[in-house]
Amino acid sequence: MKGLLIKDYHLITQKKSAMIYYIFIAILFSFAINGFMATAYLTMLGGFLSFNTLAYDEAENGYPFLMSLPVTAKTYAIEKHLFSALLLGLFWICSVTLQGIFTAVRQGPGQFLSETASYSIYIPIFYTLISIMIPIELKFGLEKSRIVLLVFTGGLMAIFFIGASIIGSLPSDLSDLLPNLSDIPSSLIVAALLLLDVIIIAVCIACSIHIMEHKEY
Amino acid sequence: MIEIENLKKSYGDFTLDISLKVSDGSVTGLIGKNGAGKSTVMKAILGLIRPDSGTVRVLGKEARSLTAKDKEALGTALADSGFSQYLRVEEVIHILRNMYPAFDEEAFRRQCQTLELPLNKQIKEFSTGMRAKFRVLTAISHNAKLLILDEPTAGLDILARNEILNMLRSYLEADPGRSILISSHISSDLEGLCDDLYMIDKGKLLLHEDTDRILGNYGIIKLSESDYGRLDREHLIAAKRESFGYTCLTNEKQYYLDNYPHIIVENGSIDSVMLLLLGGKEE
Repeated sequence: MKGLLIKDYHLITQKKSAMIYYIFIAILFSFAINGFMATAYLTMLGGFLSFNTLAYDEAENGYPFLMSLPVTAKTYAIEKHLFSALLLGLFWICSVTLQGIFTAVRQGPGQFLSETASYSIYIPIFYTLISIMIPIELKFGLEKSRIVLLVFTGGLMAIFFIGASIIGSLPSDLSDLLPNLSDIPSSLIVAALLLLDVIIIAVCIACSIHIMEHKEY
Repeated sequence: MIEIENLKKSYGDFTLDISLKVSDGSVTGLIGKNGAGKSTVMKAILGLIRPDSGTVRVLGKEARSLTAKDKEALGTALADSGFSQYLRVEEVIHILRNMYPAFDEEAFRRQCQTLELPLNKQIKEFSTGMRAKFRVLTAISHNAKLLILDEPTAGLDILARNEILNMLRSYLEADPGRSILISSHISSDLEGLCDDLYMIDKGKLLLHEDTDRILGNYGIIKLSESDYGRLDREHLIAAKRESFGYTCLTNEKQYYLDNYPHIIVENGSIDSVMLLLLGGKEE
């Protein structure tokens, strides 16, 4: 596992000049737009950089050799999810620190502390996104996974809009039976969403392991 | 070290059907033309494919059940697969140090210097020969018990091939218990290295023989049509019709030298054996 993490670390550092450019863009966002945007941008960037290591592994038929190294298919799959979590977390910490400095200079340290909690929303959002993308890439490869992701995203949006339109078209006495979100304590909604998030991530990791264990090279 | 029993694996029209054994302390060669199934055998040994039937045992375990610890005893160099070409040798050293507890960093760096492999260049900037040497060096760098080498000398000039073969000889000398399974279509590389050879074609085993026996007992007989008609064909393995008559392959060269002093019997070589087994009709 450690060897694979080091391999991925060295792979992402091949893009040093690009990373400097991205960080420069993030700083511009912080100045010109707002901290939320810059934090979202950098956190997402961390996730996508880690995801990009899959493309390096797949390029030039790299998998047969990688799987002959002292790693198992399960370790490889877990490492990909772990590396994404580490990189995403690291980029989030860096961006929040950056925002902290800007906010402290502009409005004082108190304001920054109150904003930090809201910045943390990006971690589960982007990590879930990357967790879904990893098994799709492992299953379909770089080229096909793009199409699958487009279909997947389109499917989710379709379900969302159809669901919303069904609820909107319900007779008023039926829609009254549905719980009113404003009546539910926000802490309970957050806990339920986090639980759902953990379940989705766990399923994605299990899928990645299953795919790798059944893959042939 | 390796035991393959009745391994069957199909890809469309192609079916691999082979049994093979690599003993402790021996060097076994796998030879065949392109598409014969050599790489499929290697993949089955490394657990990279699932056999349709049969068993593949490596270091006493089923190949697809090898743990990470078990794989530390394997050294692999594959023809068309390796570390990402964006990595530098220095970075690969860092990876190997954390992947193999027995990685001999000092020897690896020394060998890089000897083989003129620059530590701070990306692998993609290496020549074909440098990449091949680097792949083999990686495979032998961590005290592996068994090397699996798929076409390690393909596309190289004679000097680069010789350097790689010397590296393998040094690896074997360091511990007599070490084994190698090496595939190649360059027979001269295998003649000087292998204890025994498996010759395969279209996924089937054509011949398994000790290298010494091929070089010592096998012979090529060239003779006219009338001589061919009078020849005792009991010890002929294959015969091929030529413009002058017949070219025959025998595994009892001495028998024909003793009994037919007037016919031409040449020493056998892996190339000539392969040419006749692939191109001749079986006797």
